[in-house]
Amino acid sequence: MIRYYSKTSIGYSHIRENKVCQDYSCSYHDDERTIVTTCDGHGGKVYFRSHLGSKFASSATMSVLCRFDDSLLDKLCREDVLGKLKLEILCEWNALVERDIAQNPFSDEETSALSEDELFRLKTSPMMAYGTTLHGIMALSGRLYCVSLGDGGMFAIKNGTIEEVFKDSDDDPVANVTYSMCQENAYDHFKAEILDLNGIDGAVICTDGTINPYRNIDNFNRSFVTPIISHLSKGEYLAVDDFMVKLGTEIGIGDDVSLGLIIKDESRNNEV
Amino acid sequence: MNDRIAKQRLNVMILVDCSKSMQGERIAQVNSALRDIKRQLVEMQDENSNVDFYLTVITFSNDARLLNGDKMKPIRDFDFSDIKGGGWSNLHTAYIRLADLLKKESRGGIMPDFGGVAPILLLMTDGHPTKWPLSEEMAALRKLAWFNVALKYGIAIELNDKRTVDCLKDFVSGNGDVIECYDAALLKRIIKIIVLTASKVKSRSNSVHADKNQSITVEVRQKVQQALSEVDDWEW
Repeated sequence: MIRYYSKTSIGYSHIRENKVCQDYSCSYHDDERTIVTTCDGHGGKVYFRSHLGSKFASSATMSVLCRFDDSLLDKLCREDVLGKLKLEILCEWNALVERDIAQNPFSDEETSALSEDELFRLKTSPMMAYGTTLHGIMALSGRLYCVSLGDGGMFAIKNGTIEEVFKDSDDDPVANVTYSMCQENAYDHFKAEILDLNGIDGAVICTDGTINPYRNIDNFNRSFVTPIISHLSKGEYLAVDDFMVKLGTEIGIGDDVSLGLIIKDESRNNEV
Repeated sequence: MNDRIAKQRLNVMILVDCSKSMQGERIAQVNSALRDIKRQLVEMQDENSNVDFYLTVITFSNDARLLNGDKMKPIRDFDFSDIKGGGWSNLHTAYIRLADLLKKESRGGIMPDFGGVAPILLLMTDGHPTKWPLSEEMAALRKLAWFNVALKYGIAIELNDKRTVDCLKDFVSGNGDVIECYDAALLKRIIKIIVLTASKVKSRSNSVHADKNQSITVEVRQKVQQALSEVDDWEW
């Protein structure tokens, strides 16, 4: 049996600044597959539609993963399958953004605060207004499909420990600088992987507002992931909801927070 | 679940030349500045700052060392015995030590694995680096994201030497400024202006947004320039 969870809560700095929540997360579950996503719109003044960008990123990931046929792995090599997933998600996101711009062109109100330089950048790359990160995982046929672009976190859970699915390097962006769906070379930074679900207990994804207050992996696992899984395993979803709201609105770093989890629940499975 | 949550960490890292030429007034000014900085950063943190301050001091002469052996000391716990001058000015050893520190905690450095605020780096020297050029060591630093985003200042102490100033300019890499201190008696004030102004601006900025780091850097540079210009002309 699979347990899954997703939740987003606005951060206190956005409440203070009267801004909408820039994060978006969602989940999907049927007999065959379980999907969760967490996305974080950048929220700066040039990214004035990033609350939509994050929603579109979630939506694009859901669409692509929902229609993904895992028999493709019998026909194509693993790298080609991963490349196809990344490309389809990027194309889908770009299509959603283009449609939104066509239906709702940028207004003077939205762009009035931008400098000439920023306006020029926006003109040459309108996608920028929708800048967002993306993390998505899907459990399907004993495998876990992982897609990730930008900061935040994606970890495999195993025997009470967590391990980064994608190892970053010392030259990856830091200090609130992140790769983004809106970059022209987004594909180059888009990571994808397929894990064997038999070898792990599940996976957790989150936006930077959730993980940054914990600073390092060990603390994040000990103080956040382990207690969250304990609650979810007991079916205490409301307790986790309450904590996520508290993390965003009171005790975190002020940023919006999002969390997504897929965990195997062997004990429950045995009961069934 | 909320017992191990912390504010964002702001690392202030100071690289101090403690070669023989720094003996006397110059090193005394540095020691006094560090004591004042500790006291004032503690006060700043108590005033509802958005960050936790951590101070790391690298001293370099024949070798580069962490002052008191401490790396990333919470500002309240920072304490030290006076730095003393002596030996050569092996700046390259300080760069190597700095590169080790500017890595993520999970890789043995002091920078957070997740989040964090771009650090403040201050390098001060009063003479030629023993090894020249430092291209290899600078290349290693430039590979580190935390070095590239850092706000960097260099202080050239009582020297009118293009090579050393160029070396400091190379270090700040356009993301900060090089200040020429023509009178060692002013060194303490200059150090304090740089560190405290930068710390104040960065700690009060809400760094949730990705595009804010650059504007914070611009604001710090303007404020530091303004504060330095207020030092009376006759003092220079």
